Amino acid sequence: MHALVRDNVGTLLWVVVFAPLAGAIVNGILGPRLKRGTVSLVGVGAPVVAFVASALATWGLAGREAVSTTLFTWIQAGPIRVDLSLWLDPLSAVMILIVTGIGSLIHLYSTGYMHGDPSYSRYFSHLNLFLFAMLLLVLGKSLLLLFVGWEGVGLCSYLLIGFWFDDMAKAVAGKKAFLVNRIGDFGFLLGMFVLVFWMEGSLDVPALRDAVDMGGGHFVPGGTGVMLVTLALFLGATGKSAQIPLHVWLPDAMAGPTPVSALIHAATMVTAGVYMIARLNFLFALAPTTMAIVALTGAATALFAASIGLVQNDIKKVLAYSTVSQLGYMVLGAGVGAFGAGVFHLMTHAFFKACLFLGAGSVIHAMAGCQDIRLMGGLGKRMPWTRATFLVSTLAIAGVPLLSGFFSKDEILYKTLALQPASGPVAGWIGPLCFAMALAAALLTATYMFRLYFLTFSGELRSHHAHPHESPASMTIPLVVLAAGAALAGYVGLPIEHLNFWEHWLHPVFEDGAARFVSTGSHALEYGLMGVSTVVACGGIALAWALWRGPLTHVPAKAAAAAGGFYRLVCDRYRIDELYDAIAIRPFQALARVTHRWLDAFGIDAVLVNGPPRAVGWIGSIVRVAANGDVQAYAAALFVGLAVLLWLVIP
Amino acid sequence: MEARTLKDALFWAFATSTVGFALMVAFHQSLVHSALGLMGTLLSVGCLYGLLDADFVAVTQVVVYVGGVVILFLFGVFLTKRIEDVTVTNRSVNWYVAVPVGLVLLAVILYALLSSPIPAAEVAAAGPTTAAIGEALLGRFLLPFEVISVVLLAVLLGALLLARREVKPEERG
Amino acid sequence: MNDLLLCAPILVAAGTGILVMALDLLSGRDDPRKGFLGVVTAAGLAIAAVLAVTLWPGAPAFEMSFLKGVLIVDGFVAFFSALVLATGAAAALLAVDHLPEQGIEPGAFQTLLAFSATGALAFVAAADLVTMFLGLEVMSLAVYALAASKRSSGFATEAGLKYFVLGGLASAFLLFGVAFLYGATGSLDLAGIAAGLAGGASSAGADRVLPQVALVLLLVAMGFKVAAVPFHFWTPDVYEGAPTPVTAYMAGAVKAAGFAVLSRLILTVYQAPSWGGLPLSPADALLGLAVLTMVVGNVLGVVQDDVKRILAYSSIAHAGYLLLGVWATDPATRALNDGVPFYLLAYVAATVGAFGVVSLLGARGEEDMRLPRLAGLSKRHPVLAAVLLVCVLSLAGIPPFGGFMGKFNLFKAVLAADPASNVTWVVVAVLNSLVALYYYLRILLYAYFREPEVVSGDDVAAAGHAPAIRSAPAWAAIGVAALASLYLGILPGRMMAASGSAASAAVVRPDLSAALAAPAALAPGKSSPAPAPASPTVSRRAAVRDAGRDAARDATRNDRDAARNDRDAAHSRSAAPGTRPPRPPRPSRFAAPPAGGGSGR
Repeated sequence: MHALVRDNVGTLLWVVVFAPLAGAIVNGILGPRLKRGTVSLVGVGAPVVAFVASALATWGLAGREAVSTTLFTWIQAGPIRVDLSLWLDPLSAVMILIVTGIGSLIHLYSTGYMHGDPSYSRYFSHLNLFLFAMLLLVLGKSLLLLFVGWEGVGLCSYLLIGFWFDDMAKAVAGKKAFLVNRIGDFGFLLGMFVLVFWMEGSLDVPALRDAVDMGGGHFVPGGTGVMLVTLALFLGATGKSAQIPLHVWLPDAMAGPTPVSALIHAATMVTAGVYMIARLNFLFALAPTTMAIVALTGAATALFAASIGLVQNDIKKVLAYSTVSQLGYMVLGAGVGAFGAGVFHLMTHAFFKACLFLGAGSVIHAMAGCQDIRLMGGLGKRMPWTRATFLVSTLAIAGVPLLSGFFSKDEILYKTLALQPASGPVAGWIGPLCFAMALAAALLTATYMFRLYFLTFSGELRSHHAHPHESPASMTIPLVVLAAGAALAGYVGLPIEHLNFWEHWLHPVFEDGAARFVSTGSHALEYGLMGVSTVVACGGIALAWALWRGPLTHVPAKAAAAAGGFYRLVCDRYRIDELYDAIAIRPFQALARVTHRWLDAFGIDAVLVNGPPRAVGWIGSIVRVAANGDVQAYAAALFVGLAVLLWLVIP
Repeated sequence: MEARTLKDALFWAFATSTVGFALMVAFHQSLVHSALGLMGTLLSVGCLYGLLDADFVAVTQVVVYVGGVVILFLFGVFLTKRIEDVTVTNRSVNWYVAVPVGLVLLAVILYALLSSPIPAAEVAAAGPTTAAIGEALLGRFLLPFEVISVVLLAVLLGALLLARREVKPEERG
Repeated sequence: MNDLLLCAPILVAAGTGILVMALDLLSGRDDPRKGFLGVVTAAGLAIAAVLAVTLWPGAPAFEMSFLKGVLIVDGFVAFFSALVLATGAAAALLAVDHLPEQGIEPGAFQTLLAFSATGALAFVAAADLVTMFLGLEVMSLAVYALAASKRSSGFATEAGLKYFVLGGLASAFLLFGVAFLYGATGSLDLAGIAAGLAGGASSAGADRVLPQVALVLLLVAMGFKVAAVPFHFWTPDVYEGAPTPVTAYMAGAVKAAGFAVLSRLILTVYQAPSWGGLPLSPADALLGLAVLTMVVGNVLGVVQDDVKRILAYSSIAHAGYLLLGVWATDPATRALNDGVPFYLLAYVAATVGAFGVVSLLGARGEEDMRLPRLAGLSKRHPVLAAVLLVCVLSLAGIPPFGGFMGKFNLFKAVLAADPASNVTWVVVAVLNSLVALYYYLRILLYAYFREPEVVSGDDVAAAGHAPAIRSAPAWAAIGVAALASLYLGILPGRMMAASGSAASAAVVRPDLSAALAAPAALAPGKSSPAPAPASPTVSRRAAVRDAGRDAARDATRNDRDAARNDRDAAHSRSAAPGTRPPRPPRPSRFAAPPAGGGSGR
């Protein structure tokens, strides 16, 4: 059995990628004519098939470094050759399991959540298409194929954020996500262009890795070229993974249906940036400066987003900033060379954040669309399953010991202190600074998450219009499964030498990157930090309890009043959007107006666009006189042409 | 030397008559006269072939073209009703363009011919050429020869397609 | 036996014609099932196309003497033959339901179509000028008749007549050119002429005039067939007047065949870009034609109001780009510019699709295709409009369609041939593509954004619920054309490779090098410069012989080459420089059996 699977991993990979595509095509074309049950069957069946195939493929991969399979040569232009090849290694195996597994659960959940929507089949078609693009991104052997998936998930994200496009605000949110991502994509493209030149045509990741292993050429550790390329690539990751300064799109992206937020904007797509850094760890590790910037960006994002999360009142916005913050942890992990830890946190986060979003969806469903936590409260009694699963996930994200978030976050915190680049001019204060920010963010995380929990589920219902009720089984079953994952997923990466299955599994992928870092840590430090994080997490929870549930409920309002301007600044999300509006969008619009009036309307439309056709048409109407239909004239033209050619040719 | 001169004289005579008859074909007002001019042209060309010791080609030229094609042509002209009513002329000859272009072309081609050494074909032995032609047609040039049959078939079919009475929908039933 | 197998594509094509003729006679005159004939024609031509691409690339040379010097089969011929045959098949399918609507007799029509394709095959595969001329005549004569086949229309008759008269003139030019070449070199087969020209390369300028005049005459004839300016005047009138399936065939197959032979003549016979050492490079003439063709085609396209005329001028403009490609041969490889076959393929797919749409729309006895008739097409016939969209955008060269890849590839290859000086011409070509965008987008503007003008009650009914156009064969043809346009744009790899190998086979080189180099240099893959028998130019050419050529093929060709070698070597010696002694006695043209290698073949 294992041998059979082992030999057919390539085929399984095509099934993994194309099952969702088939689902998207069937539902996209036939969907409106199919029965709802059939649409659900196809829509949910496709990711389930992909998940089973992923599991088998991963099983078949065990013990090998990687499996590659080529369908055909896509582009062959001179030295540039891009095959449509898939590439399964331990890292991509983990990713496809996450994508298809959590994807399947969210598809199942969607059948309940989107039950009454008139565009039911369009929804599943887009969601399946997203899975296809995401799997292509993960499995693409060539960076170019990865980029195709990268753009594909961007497109699907745009389509799904603006799913209810007749609401102008939602359509605008979709557009914003797309445009902000374009800035990042520009960096990614730029990096790829340079790599194509360096690699003389091949963008295959294994080939790139070999080239880096060989060293020489442009791939010098600490070289300026490598630094610029990795910075450009990191700009791409910044856009996709919503890091400062390109984080602004993700909170707005919550305009889409909640399962979409869970799948795309929490569990999978937004982690693509982290995945890309991890995929290219050998390259990033060559550039200590880039790595320092990556780490600082991650830590700053984690703290910054957590502070905003503390004052948001929209249940999905809180979770959105929480996602930005957690993505900051992952990027921090990657930035300090703890790629395995970053991806570990990616995995645990996928479970608990998907669960949280789906729980939020369940709450919104129950509250008939209301998302304001100030109007909620006391839902725990009416929605026991939702409450229980939400609580588990909240504990996990807060970093309470023995749940998944604890292990992964702690790993990142520890490695932030412990790892140092083996070479390169990087200041020693960066590690401790990042650690401090991450620790502060951890405290804030516990606080705002429990603020959310208490305001939503405890106390009495503050709205008088809502009649909350528990969601149907199609929604609670995924919640339970995800909550179980949120609780237990951490045990694959226990911080104990021989039980750390995770590090062992991913070791072949990250050994090159990790080799460029030296560890200055110790077990003492690690276990000590565990204690510290436990204290921080519990402290945060206690603080939340005291402020929003316990004896100090009057304090938040007073503190807000005392902080005054700063409070409003945080409430307005540090007015980053307004800043962009002032420094980029408005000048740009002014420029656009000027260019529209003078360059476009006059210069291009009047002179260049309508001018030449008119001139050409004018010339043509003169020349066409020659084509008067007279055969003799035509024959004469033949002779004249002959005569002129002879005159040209005869010496 | 004597024979050479005679041959040259004959050549020039036939060449002149070829061109003269050709002009008649092109410019005469009457179709019948044009057809007769064509006959004269083809006949003169046949004589030129004969002068070049190409006996088979000369005979074929006279028999097929002069004897067959042109006579058929004349029959056609005579038998077609009311053809006298139609003024068949070359009225729209565009002299201003045609004459200069024609002269230029003529000059260029003459220049090309005169300035290039055409490998003079020595007549190996004046004798019957029919056998050689037959061999060439069934040996080296077999395929082109076969292609000619397709040419003829295509022409026949084309004529059929164009000459057939038009099928009108109401005549079908 | 092997020879017969290699002839199979031609035999199948000709057999298809005869079969259709027989089937036509066997069925009754008013048999409603005559549409079947078109399907048979298409099937036959498609089979021939498949045979051509499977049998011909890398095929050994013919063994039988009567085929050896007459036909060439190689990857180049296979590519263009398949293109021609596929276009013929598409035209046959388009005609199935078009003919009854227009009152055209299907039997003779389809037979002529098959014969025309057969002629085109002989034209493309010809190894000597006689076969080439005859192939041209079979192809053209049939098309003349096809163009005039709609007898109820004075327009069609006029089109046929114009094409016939001017085509006859072009054929006369070709024949004149053939005669001059024979006069200059004493040879009729391409390789022999090439050797003859190369052999005389060292002699003084004056006696090089004849081949040059011949080249011009051939250029004019081929320029006429591919509709190059100023030999294009017939094109819009004929394209407009002829039944649309015939137009599609002319714009696709005839043009492709014309370009194939033009490339052969220029590359094999005249050995572009060295041009056989001719004193003044005829490349200027070719470049002039190319630029003039694209400019005039595009400029005149802008002022047209009829879809068929617009597409006619578009086909002229595309001939200009292709001429540019043929002109820009890479001096290093001396092969055909490898963008040309692919470009032609993409162009033919798109143009056949576009004309196919017009044909389907005009299938109601009505062939007036003024732009306003397209108005509201996207609502009346959305699928048809979509096919038109794909094909027109492909013609315009917009990604992701084949036309874009074709243009990109072609211009890239033109640049690669001589990066410094060709930039100007590529820029000119790109500017031309921009002009062309105007009229292409006009078609789409009418099809997608204009509402039909309501004139009378009937029109309202017609605009409201147009009856679906039913013609499965025609739908199949345009469907394939549109899909091909997409395929070529998205997954061009395979066809680009095919294009490259076709292009590299465009020059019949072993013969030439056999003629010029010592026999020892014939060993496969060996490319030692021969001890220059005639001139340094020649040996350099021998040296750049493509070493990657199939070794087995070279080996099988060796005996043929050796045979020809004797004759040609004798000829080179005879053309040695100096005081130009009287030439040794040459065989008379038919009078005596030719001496030397000539009779051996």
